[in-house]
Amino acid sequence: MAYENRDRVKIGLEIHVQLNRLKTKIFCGCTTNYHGDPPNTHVCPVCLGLPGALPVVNRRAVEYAIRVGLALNCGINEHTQFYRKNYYYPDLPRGFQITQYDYPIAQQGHVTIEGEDGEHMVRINRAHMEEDPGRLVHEGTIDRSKYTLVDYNRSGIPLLEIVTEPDLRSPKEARRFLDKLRNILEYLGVSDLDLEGSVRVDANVSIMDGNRTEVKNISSYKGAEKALLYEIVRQKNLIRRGKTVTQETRHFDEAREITVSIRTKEEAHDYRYFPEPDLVPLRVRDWVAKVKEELPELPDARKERFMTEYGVKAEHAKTLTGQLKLAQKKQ
Amino acid sequence: MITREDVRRVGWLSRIELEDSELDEYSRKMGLVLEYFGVLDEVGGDVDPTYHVLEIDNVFRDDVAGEMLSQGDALLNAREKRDGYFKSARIV
Amino acid sequence: MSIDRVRELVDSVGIEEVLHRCSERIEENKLNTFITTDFEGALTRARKRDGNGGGRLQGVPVGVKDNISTRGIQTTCGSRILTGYVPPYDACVVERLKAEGAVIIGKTNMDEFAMGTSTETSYYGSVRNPWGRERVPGGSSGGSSAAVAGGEVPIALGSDTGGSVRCPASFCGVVGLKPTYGGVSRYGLISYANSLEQIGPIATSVGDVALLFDAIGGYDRRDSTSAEHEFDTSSALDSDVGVEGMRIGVPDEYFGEGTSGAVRDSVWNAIHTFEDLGATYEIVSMPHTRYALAAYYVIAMSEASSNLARFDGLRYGYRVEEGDWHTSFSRTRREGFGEEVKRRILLGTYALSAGYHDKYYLKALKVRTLVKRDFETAFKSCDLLLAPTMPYPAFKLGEKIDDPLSLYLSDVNTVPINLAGVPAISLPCGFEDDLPIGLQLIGNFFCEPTILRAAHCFEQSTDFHKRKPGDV
Ligand SMILES: [Zn+2]
Repeated sequence: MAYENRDRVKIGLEIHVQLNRLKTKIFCGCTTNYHGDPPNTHVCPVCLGLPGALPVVNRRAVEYAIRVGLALNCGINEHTQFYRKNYYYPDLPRGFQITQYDYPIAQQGHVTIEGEDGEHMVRINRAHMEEDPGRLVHEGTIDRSKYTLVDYNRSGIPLLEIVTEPDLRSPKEARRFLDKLRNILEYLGVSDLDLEGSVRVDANVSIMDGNRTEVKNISSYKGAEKALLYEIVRQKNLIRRGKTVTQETRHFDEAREITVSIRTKEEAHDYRYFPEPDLVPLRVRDWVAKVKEELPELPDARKERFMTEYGVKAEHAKTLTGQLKLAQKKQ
Repeated sequence: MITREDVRRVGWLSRIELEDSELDEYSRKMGLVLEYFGVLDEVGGDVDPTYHVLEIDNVFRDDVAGEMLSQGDALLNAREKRDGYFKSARIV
Repeated sequence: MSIDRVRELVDSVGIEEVLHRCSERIEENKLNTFITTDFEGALTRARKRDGNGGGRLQGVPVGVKDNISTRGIQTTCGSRILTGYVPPYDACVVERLKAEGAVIIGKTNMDEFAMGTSTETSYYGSVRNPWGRERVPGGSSGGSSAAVAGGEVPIALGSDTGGSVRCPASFCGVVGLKPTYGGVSRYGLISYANSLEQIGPIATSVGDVALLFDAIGGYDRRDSTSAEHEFDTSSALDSDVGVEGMRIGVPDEYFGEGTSGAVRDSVWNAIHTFEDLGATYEIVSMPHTRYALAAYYVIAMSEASSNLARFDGLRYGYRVEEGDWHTSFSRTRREGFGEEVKRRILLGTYALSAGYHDKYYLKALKVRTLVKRDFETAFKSCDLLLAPTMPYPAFKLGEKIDDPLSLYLSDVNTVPINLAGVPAISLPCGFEDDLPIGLQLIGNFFCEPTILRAAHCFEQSTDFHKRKPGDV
């Protein structure tokens, strides 16, 4: 039976994943195992943005990004490069973030999930590499704090931003997508997603073809479903009362499990993207085939194999392959 | 050519505080320069832009740990610090 | 003062005495060439290395432009916003100078963030020209050039984004080289316009410039735009080789309206000198030269607006505490940057902003392609190009500073070289009212040996470099 999606819920996700299985940061030799260490001890002139220091791309970070791109059935751009995204925040040591814009490493993929009505395909718009900013510590809440403390240990941790099309039709599908993604990333060995701050999710949500809101600051997989449930109910209530949904950015308050409107002083963003002059273009054509060859068996393929080779039933195979450790034990 | 409002907006985008009394002078001098930049409009024909003069590509470093600064050196030049952190004014 | 002469002095009177003489000279000259000197540190460092010195610059005092990071020595970029900033690391070129035994005595004055042609935009005051104290030394490496011309140091480092080594070399009657883009590592050079700039050597002779270039140049893995090219400058100064048969192109467009009669004459005399030495010349046309200046400034300002975004007072430098973060940030920059820097950041932000990006920034990069092609065409029939470095000799302090556009127009013969990325050298070729005139020799990519050889031959057959400035 086809899923009705009566409220015409459309959810698109932007997932920031730390490629924290890498030993070092994306543009410098600082180590990525900063968790639990004192602030500003995994830093160098490059990731502190000291004047004159220059970035150099971590080869494995690109390889990992290609791995993920292939696993998400994306096309890998033969020519890819880094851009500067200009905006200001104390966690951003250079006053711009080095990211990708035109020519991201991976584009146009898809992932199949267990949807509301059976198999459901979620299209991947793109996946691009970028650097993580530092971490801010507020005394109390962000709007009450007298000052802000800044730790740059996280600055420059390699991130992959994965952007889906608005193909998810319910918070449950969003959660299943995230579970699936987590599973894939663990199989690929690029990320340890148990580490704090290893995943951040932003979600675009609209219902009844109305305006969409962007919900930011979803810092866990579990949080995602809650944030989306709240946001959909909020939008439904607005429409029921004859109001329209405002197109805006909202913050997920994890403690209160609600989304709140954030009005920043920075009215309209103007990121003034331009190619990072300190980095040269990447041509990865020769790499892709090699990375593809070395790709481990992914959950879908393994599930298939468990069913055919071992005669395991579909449900059981899914449970088995849904967790990397169980799947390895079965091997 | 560039209005007071433009200058104010660009000032905000650049995070450079400008006083109202300065806007006219900025817009006049910037206007002269922008007028001069107008010479670029004379150039026709579509060619590819040159971002890098040398055709270098695929420059990488290996995923090998390098030298890091001590916390003391990292914070050495900061005017305000606390407990090993840089201390910034409140965000909002 | 030559490197050889200084090395002899070090051997005869000792490093302490040599450093003492440098310091005295700086004090007597009062040209305001240095923002920071560190003679005590210099002596300590020199002594530490005493005995194991096999370096080609062993004991040679050197001035380093204040936009090049020096571990433990304040590095201000000529700006208030970096007052008190002490880098915890050395630039690549500084490491290489040290490895050759050079002794860094201090950081030279410069236009704020290298944005200027006269060294008048420095927060630390203008530099005076040793050939006429009421004249500018050129910029932005005015401190380095004036220090070399004034006999304070035998060699110095500058940086050249649009002529910032060649212009002051020309105005101060010394030799300055802008290397091929990628020829010298930018690691540790505080960026003004990354895609255009290179660190370059300044000295009193072509030979010393070649030696200094040899010491600092070559591949560095920390700069992704660094070229894996091995320069061989050793034969460049071999007097047996000469310029016999060398084909020199003279670009018509580099003798524009504003060029002074004396500059025109001196440069043409130089062309005839080369003819006498066995070279041939032809007039070449570089039709996109008239667009180069605008394209250069658009690109430089755009890159600068982003490069200078990091100066927020949080991690280093000047800081104003006022309200929330964005307010503190904006006020810090209001007070920390000078007028010219602010103007360039504003213009660069404008040129990159939504709605203007294609009209200014992208268009400038397309024009850059055309300018580069002009050079490619010229180098099909020529081994090098020859032109005035500056259209006129050093102008008066205060003469142009209130009119940014007229100051920009001074760079008309130097910026096309940075747009194309090719190397160029400036060396003395005459005088106008006792002020030096500079000759510019421009080479193809990585053809530093060619222009150094030609410059050396010219120097050997003329006396311009022997004349000493009168006002020190
Ligand atoms: Zn680092």
